[in-house]
Amino acid sequence: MSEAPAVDPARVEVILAGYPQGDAGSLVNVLHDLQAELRYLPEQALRQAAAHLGLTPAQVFGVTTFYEGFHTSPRGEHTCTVCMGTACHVRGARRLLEQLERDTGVSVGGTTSDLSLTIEEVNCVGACALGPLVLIDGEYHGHMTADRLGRLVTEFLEDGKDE
Amino acid sequence: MTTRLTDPGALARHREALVAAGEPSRDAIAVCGGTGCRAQGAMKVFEALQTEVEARGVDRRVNLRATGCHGFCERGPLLLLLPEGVLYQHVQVEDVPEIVEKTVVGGEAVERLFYVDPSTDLQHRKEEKIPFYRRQQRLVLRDNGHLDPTSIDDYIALGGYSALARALEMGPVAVLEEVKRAGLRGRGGGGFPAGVKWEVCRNAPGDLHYVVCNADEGDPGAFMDRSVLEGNPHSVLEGMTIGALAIGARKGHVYVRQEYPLAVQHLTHALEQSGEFGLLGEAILGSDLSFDVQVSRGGGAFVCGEESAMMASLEGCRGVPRRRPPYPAEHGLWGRPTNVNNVETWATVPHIVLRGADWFRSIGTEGSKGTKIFSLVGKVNNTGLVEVPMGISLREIVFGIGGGIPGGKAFKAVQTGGPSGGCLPAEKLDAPVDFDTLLAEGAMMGSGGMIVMDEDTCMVDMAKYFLRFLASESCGNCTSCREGLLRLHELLGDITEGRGTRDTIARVEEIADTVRAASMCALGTTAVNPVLSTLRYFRHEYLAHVDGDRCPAGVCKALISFIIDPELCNGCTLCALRCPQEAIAGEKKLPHTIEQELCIKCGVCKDVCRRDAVLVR
Amino acid sequence: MDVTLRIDGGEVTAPTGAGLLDVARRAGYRIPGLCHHEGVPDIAACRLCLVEVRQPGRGEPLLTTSCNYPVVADLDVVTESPRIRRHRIMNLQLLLPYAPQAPALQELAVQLGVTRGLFAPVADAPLPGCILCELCVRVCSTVGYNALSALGRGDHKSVGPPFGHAGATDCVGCGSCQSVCPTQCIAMEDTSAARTIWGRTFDLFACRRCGTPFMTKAHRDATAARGDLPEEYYTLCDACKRVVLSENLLTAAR
Repeated sequence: MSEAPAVDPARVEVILAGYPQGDAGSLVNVLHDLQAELRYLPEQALRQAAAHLGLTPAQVFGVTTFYEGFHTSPRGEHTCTVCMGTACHVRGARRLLEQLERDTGVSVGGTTSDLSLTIEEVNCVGACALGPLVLIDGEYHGHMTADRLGRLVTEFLEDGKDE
Repeated sequence: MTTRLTDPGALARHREALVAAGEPSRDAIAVCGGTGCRAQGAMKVFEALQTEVEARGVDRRVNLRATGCHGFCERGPLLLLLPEGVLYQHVQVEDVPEIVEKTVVGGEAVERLFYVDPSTDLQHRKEEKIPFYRRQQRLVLRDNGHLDPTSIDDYIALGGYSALARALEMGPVAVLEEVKRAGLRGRGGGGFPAGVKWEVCRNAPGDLHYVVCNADEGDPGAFMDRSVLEGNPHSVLEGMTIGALAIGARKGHVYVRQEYPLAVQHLTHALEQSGEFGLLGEAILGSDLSFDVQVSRGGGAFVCGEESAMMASLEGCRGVPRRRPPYPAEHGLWGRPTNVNNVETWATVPHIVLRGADWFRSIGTEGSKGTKIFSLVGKVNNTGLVEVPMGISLREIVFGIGGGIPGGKAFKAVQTGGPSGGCLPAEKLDAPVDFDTLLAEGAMMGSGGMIVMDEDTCMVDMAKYFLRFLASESCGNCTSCREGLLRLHELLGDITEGRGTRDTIARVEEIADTVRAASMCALGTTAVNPVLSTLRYFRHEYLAHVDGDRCPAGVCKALISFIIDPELCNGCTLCALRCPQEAIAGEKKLPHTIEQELCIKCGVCKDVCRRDAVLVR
Repeated sequence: MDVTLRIDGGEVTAPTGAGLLDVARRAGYRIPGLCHHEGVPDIAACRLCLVEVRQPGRGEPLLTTSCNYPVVADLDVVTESPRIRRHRIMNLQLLLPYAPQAPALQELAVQLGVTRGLFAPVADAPLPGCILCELCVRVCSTVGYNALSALGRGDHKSVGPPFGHAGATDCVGCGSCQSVCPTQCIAMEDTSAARTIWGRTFDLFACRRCGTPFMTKAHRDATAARGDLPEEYYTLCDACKRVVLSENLLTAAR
């Protein structure tokens, strides 16, 4: 498993400087900004955020882990997200997710060991006419079938090996 | 060029100038830029149009704009020709040269892009004639396909902010009375009378009042709020500003789900513009009203759609709901009087102020006034966003507007109210859509998600789906909710996997009773609606699973088998090649068979078979 | 300001706004409540302290938790009914899989006449025995360290120190969490020189009078740093504190 690179504290401080010190109420917005910059939320960044906002690391970590959108472990280079909204479910999304888990060997929410691909589920992206929908790096792929998904993922995994 | 509008007169003059210049109805091509159309390549179409129009030197002749969601998602990418209102559907990049040549240059329509009604084979040129649109009453969504959401001028030209000017004239008390009299009920799911809530908040003691827009639209399958925020953000801001006037609030928040980055972007841009124009901030339109709005993102938690959990999140905490009373109207954000309303509710306010409570009351039923936006999705032909008057029947929505069930399949149920709602069967199709009726029938209006299900949907599987969703979205505070939902999900798993008995069903009902009675917030108390409503209307399906080890809809894996019909199979070997378990045997050109012991019911064979030879038993 | 309310038909007086559970217990009514502790704010997590509040003009009484219900004048409360019993028993059943052997749950089972668990014991909980009452978190916050928090939510909720490994906490090893845990699931091991809790080992500080180790050095240092407590507080063990205090009182009396 590749080691997550150490984070430059200065990068974190630049972002924190955009929020008043001790302004605990801005924590969720702070986490968004940090994650946008660092692609995930490493322990060190959370500790710095706690210090800046006048909170303890436990308080910050408790809030961070509550929300689905925040990730405390490194993410893959690519993300494959299956929409599990009700409309997509009715059109067979569950089977697609199971297929994805089988093909990648990773459970939903996890990342392949070479950090090339993270697979996720999301509740409704609002493109229900295209269900079942899979997003690959934010790009929408509608009317997905188990067969097509299998082939798309193979491409991805092979690309990953080439890189 | 930004003009700070120093009084309502300046706003009116600015509008007149825009209208005189032909904005926004002069020859325009409005490309739907809503998420659904974008996902089908709409922005590529838009860019291609821009390039082509410039290349042909006709860019001065036509105004190209990308708009918000126009609603007919099934037929996207959509293109609306203004001012005539001609609609092109399923527009691809390849169609662009012809559109520019024939329509922009030649002034003629590209008829092959018109909508053809499958039930009548009639071609419709104008949007307003298409049954999908004709049967709607579009109030909040009216301008979605017409204006560029990044242009405040488009909004003003169409009449935007005239409601605010009127409200300033009327004064806070008169505005509040008007909204109360209109009978506007919250569109987020609760259905609480907005005007009454406003009044409680206004009267609550305190030196700082807040108004909040709850844009944490978490119901899976619902994207009404998203489309309003992305497509017409100013309508929400105008509504909130009017609310701030009536309530005496100086600060506002919009809490947007983090899964909606475009909505955040458009809203933030709209805020900046409004500020520059003097329609937000200090001394709005030269009046005493000062109102500031901040946009905050959620972190990804369905429970934060619940208003007290949302406020906890706004305060930087875990989104755990709080005990009510005290209610937010008296003790909300940071302990201050706070009025929370949904996106659609806020966007309806300007209409009420401008056209009056009497006009609003003329639409809808006795208990539910006005219109409601629904996201009509699932097993329905015309998937998309629809806005209808309250009181319309479910049948009219699903069949009249929705065009019925694809593939000639039979209608089975419609789910309203999301994970807090219920499934209604065919017998209830004539029920009027209104807050109280839906509640009485065991469903709920909810925020507007309307999911159509057909004969291939297993209602037990649907109940299990919702329980799984809620078990992971529960904040986890209350034993009854956190543990109850987990156990319920397990028991539903027993039923769908062939281990269920009549006792399992009895146990489900027993646990559901406690989850409903002993949980603190609406997530917990309504979490059992899907399972209870399916037990009420589809008990026979549960009994088939437990008594007969059968899944009538052919969905529950443990109770079905995939088999190849030897009469239809032509031995092309495609399924065998694709099968991930190598479970299909057969010689070329001879019927194949599936090895049941190896089959994992993934469905790939059924997907690839060109002869529909794979059957589910 | 005191108000009068009725509990099970009997009149009770209490300060307005006091928690109903506390008021009822002080008046002698027995209502279970595993996540309640008088010293910390209530979150009404366990859902065992249910009572019914009669609402004039409405048919069914309101079923509510009593720990976080502020009393008002003329409140009319019922602490036992078939409805209360039914839901209390189900909530107990929902907790049992996590701590079937915990004395507090066993006692409650006996009181409620529960002889058989409805659900299979949970084998793979991250913290065995934890019923997610969050008393540890709230107590840690009240004593001022905020070293623990609830983590995750719903079906993946747990409690503990952050970052999932031992060296990452503000914990001072005071043991307050362990002392209030209703299922005694927080492991705390003391030797003569050290205490291990939440995966960290702390040096223990010995009483200056009798030499018994009684407080971690980290806790002691944090307490001394507060500057507002007398030295005896963090240099003497409880027994010696009592002896010294009574000596001081006798001296003062002379």
